[in-house]
Amino acid sequence: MPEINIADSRQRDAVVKAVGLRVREPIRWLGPDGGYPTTHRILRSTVDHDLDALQGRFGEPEAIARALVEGDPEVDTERFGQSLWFLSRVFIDPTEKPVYQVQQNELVRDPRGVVIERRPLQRAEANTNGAIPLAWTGRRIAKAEAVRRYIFSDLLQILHINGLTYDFLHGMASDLAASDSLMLIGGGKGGRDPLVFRRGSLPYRGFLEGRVEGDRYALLLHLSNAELKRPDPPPQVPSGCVVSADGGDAAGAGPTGGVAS
Amino acid sequence: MARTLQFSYGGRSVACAIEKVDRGRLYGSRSLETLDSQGHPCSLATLAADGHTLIPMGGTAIGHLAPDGHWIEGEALTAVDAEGVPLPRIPSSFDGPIPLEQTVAVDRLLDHSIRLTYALTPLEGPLDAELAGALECGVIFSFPFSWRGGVASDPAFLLRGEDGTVWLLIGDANRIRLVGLDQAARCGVEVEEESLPVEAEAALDFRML
Repeated sequence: MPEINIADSRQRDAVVKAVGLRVREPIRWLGPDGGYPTTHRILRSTVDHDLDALQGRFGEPEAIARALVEGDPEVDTERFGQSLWFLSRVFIDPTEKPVYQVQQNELVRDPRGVVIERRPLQRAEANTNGAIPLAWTGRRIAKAEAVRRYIFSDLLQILHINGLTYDFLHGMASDLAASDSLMLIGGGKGGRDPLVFRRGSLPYRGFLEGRVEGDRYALLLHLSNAELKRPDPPPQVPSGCVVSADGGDAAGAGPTGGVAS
Repeated sequence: MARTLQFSYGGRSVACAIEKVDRGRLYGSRSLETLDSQGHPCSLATLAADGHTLIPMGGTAIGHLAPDGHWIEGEALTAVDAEGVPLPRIPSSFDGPIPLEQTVAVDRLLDHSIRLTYALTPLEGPLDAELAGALECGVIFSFPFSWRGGVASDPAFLLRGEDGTVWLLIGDANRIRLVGLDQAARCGVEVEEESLPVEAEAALDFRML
């Protein structure tokens, strides 16, 4: 249950708890005998038996095909089908050998998938439980308008941890419930930064909603990282201009391809 | 070619093409490029517990074993709920028209986390006038949605966006409970207090001063 440091309209702040609310109806699977089967991860192939290994062993595709027809060089009958536990993820180089020192870059692509920037990996720092509380921006949006402008992909409920924070959060919920609106909250000094819950996690825009029934309340934090709108159409290319076959790579290699007819 | 969904409203059938819209198509995306010390691109593989068996992508599968260790084909499994009652099969939403009968308030939509978003485009001319009018008035339709059919469906909503586009939103339900003063969130580990015997009224100890 993560903690968040949040401020209200009077700039009073407190560290409180946020809890996820997603519900999954339990579905269980029965075997033909009425018993509950167990699920296992099974070994299907290794790098010693994949296409690269077969190419190294037999050469031409026709030779590989003949070998597959005549025997089963792609199967290790002693090991394939065994259950797997305690697996690890490793990086391998093009020769399929593990590597122990790697450098990671980010490739930033535009909406068409064209790489526009290559840069060292950047991980956003968490800002929801730092020294600067999440700001009550004062920017309200009617609920009916909000659901038509933003895609709310996650929801957290903010909970009090003691009597003082109960009053604090109940007051915020009452304020928001009275206006039937969502309130934008943000990180950073000006409250303009998106919310980052863990280092390197997806940033979100946060919208607070309040629901109150007497002494009981629910203060909800709706998270959104996309607007509800159609993508921009691809730019129209005037006739007679040079067009690349694959859109090219604006950050690296130039476009390839011929002239549009 | 875009898939199509059929809806039924007011006794009439409405066919729409669906177009998935996500963050990547709106704003672009970021991907990770991993290089070794020589600058060669690297890929991810799985290392087995023996420390030397390398498993490429696609080299594992999921299997079901009976309590006696025998293999069970996926088709032989029966889905049941928490009480062990078999669940009925649900057809795919693409198999027949989806009735637009149930409407919900905005709060009900806000109770859900949306994970899939589709823009709808009528196949034949403009949208049915009565349906378009309802959507323009802010009506939000709700119905169960299942892409492939199966034993479970997802809550889905149909509404008109700010830009006039008709949207299909598919999400997950959230369980929201209003809380009172006594329902505070737990902080840290709770330590059980030992129940001490009740002593007779003891004198105050001022040696601590």
